[in-house]
Amino acid sequence: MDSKSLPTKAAHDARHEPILREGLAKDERSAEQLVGQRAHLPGKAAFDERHAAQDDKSATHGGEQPPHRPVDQQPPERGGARGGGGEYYVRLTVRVDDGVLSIVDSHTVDGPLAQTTAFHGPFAYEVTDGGRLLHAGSIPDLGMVRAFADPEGTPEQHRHHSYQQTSYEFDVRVPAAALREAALSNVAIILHRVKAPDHIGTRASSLAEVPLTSQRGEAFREIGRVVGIPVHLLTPDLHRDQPTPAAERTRGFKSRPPQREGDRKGEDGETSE
Amino acid sequence: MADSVTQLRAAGPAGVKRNLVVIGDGFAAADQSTYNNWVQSTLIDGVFKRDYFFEDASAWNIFRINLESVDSGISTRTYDEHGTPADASDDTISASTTLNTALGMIYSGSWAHCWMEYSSGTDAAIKAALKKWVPDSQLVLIVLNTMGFGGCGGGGRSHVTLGSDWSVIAHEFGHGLGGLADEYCVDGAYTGTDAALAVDLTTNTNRATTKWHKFIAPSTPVPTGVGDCAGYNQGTRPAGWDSNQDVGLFEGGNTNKTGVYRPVENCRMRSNSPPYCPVCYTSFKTQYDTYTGHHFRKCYAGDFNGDGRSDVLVHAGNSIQIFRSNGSQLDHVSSAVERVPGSWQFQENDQFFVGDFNGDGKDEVVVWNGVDWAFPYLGLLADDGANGLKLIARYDGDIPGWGGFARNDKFYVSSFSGDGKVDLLVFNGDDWSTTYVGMLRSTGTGFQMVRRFDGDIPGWGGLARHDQLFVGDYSGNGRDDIYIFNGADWSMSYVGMFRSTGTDLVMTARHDGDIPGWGGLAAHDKLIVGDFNGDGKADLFIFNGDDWSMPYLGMFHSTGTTLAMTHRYDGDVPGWGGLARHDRFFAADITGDGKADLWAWNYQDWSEEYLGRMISNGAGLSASFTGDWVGEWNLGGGDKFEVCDYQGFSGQPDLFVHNKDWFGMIQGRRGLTLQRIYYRWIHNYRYGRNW
Repeated sequence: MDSKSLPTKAAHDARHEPILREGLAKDERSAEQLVGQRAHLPGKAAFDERHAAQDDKSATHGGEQPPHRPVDQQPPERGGARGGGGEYYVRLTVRVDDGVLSIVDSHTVDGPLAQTTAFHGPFAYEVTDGGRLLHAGSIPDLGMVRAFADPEGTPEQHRHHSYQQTSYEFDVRVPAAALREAALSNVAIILHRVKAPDHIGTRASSLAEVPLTSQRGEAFREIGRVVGIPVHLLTPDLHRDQPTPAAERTRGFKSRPPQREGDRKGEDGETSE
Repeated sequence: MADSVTQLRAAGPAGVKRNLVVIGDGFAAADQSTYNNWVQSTLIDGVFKRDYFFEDASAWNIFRINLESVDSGISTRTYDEHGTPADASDDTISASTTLNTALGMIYSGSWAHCWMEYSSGTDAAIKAALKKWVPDSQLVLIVLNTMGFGGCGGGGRSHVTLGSDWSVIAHEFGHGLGGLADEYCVDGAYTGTDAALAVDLTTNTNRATTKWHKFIAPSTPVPTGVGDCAGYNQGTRPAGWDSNQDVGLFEGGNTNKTGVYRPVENCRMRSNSPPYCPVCYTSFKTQYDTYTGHHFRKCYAGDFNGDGRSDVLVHAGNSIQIFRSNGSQLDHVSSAVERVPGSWQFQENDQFFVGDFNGDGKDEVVVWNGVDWAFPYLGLLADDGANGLKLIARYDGDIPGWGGFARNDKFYVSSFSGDGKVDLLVFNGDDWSTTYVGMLRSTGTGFQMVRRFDGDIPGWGGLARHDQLFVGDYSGNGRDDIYIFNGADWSMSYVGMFRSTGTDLVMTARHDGDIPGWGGLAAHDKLIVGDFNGDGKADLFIFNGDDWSMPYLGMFHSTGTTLAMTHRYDGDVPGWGGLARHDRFFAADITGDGKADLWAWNYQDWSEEYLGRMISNGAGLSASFTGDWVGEWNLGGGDKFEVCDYQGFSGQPDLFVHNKDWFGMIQGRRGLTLQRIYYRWIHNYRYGRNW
């Protein structure tokens, strides 16, 4: 058996006598003398009033609730106009037409927004402000239409009837606080195809605040992007001091995806996968 | 009936959860109950009461939108397929019926037309319903009021009929939520690349580099099955091989018979009803773990099915999970999100107390929350008959006789009545002008206050704010008594002994400033109750690492009415290598000989963490320890321990050890060995692990 190390232990000296604290011993002090040292619960009965409160119990909220008549537990009163302490996020609907991305709708949602670190699905998006990642998400099922297999059909119908759409939509989400600090004309929404992880069963690594391609390299292949968020799609608090919508458009609000040789090869049109 | 939404599961804010929305089409007012029943039986009790989706229930908000259609049923369209049912390009419409339904969907029953299709207004109607009724959504499940076969999915929506059962939807969710590929085989050979395949398919037959190599046992041949949609055919299929959980490389998948490999012979992505295989399961878990809110910080041991083995209840935020021990591992049996029937709504600050409160041989759970609601609540949760829990009693703000719950009420599990049903003690030294102790006797279905002590228990000389209660049957009469220690409120420290009569507490001894042989009670004495001599009377260990020039550990046996010193260890217990200031102890009959031993734990005073056993022979202790690691468990300051018996032996020889991300099962009967270690989730892979 190993022996412990460090620090040096005290020698086995004689035990000291305890030092008595100042104050009274039990027999010299009555319970009443403790009264006043305690914090009173605001609005609650003090010692003598507590007995009376027992009699009034049935008139208040106390007592057992029968299980067949569930009553919600009562939440404390909370302030704030928005839920989640005023925190909210923006959901932007992005349309893809033949590989061209455009933002077609937006919606604000109360509450915080979680950030996943796992991208096992075939697609992912990221929202960036230059070299800063604002948010990213996985898209498990995008642009595909899949009919159930027909077990009583022809052999070909024993599989899904699947085909890739040329026009489809997906949602991206970004914390309002991140958008508020960003230059809207510089914000990019990028759609990626994700290569399946090389090894399933490894710990998901943390996500840094830089674009996905900078931190996960070859796992992400860009399908397309749109740069700039039109201010008319955002609530006023998100576009104060931002460029006008017209200015954004001239900067190329809608843009074609970068053309890569081999991109999306074999993905358009009907497929029997 | 007007259109409406019902949140069937409220797991949390939309942005930190995944949001599944169900919308019905073709359900007239009179059909709404049919729709509701289908959602309940197929989705809630079907998909979400099984394997992966049951485990990760807390990741999902589920909304049911009820849209009232004018007509009952679905518009139909019949195609003349001209003898080519797999080719839609030559189809013509031969007949149609149009009904006035909320979404205007059309059922065709044609595979080539995805079985169903949208009318011109369907997409807008779906978007309008989502915008109006739910804050956010990741997947929309649209249910058609027809029993016709078929379904159509993709792009974040799944469309099914009333004829779809849970297993078909679970398979479809594998695509729609998991990004998984089909693993069944129809015909042909796969000729594409490995990179184009989903996580559950590969062309790579290299054992060391294939996607799921971590789950393939060294003894399993790679590939494992070769040929058209192969099963295990490379050598003799081992006895006990599980076609759903044992992983290899089996040719066939992606609807192709050859040229591509799947992880197991028969996953849900092949034939719907089996659970997801380890590869698909792990992919799902990894993708959605963020949204579950799960952690292992709050774990409670208890024998919830009465089989003599300790199970574990894991509480995280507004959810609980129960994992059942089979003696060597834990398996998920139940999840509850936001509330259990009854209803108790879980909150982060819920405190759980485990005991057999109704005497049925199974442990129940008392849950207390004094801070998260407008007023405090106490609940009693019991077996729901389906491996889960339900509320059988709830006390809102008070229990008759206590005079009002308060924020700092402290509860103690105690069998003070000795009637076979575990009771509760409650203490409050903070919230009132007087300190109170209450005895809450269990009736099996709730609690009754049988005695309340206001400011004193006769003989004690005054209950005080920092009184600490310790439960144990020191009199040996079958009823739990209490020790009270106070080292803070008076000029000297005290230990009192109070015997339970079942309805009252009677002081049998008070030790003022000292127990003979101890050399003086001190402010930071720490009491640990345990029958270390096995005479049926709960004895007392006292440890002090703060007040003296060296730490001390004393053993005081109960005579039935008072305490007498058995042994005092000055600075060390033989084998422990030195008592230290922050030593912590948990009493348990580790050896199963009827005598309480001690688990000892120190992570602060030495260059590495130590976990030890101090075994009692009735008169003294002999210790052993392990440092830094217990097997693969790297001991750390965030570790918490739960004394338990997950093996079903006598005594309490085991420990559950847990921190935020990790959970371990430690055997202590013969030394210290780690039996299981889990990361982020409790799952028993046949081979491999998720880290």
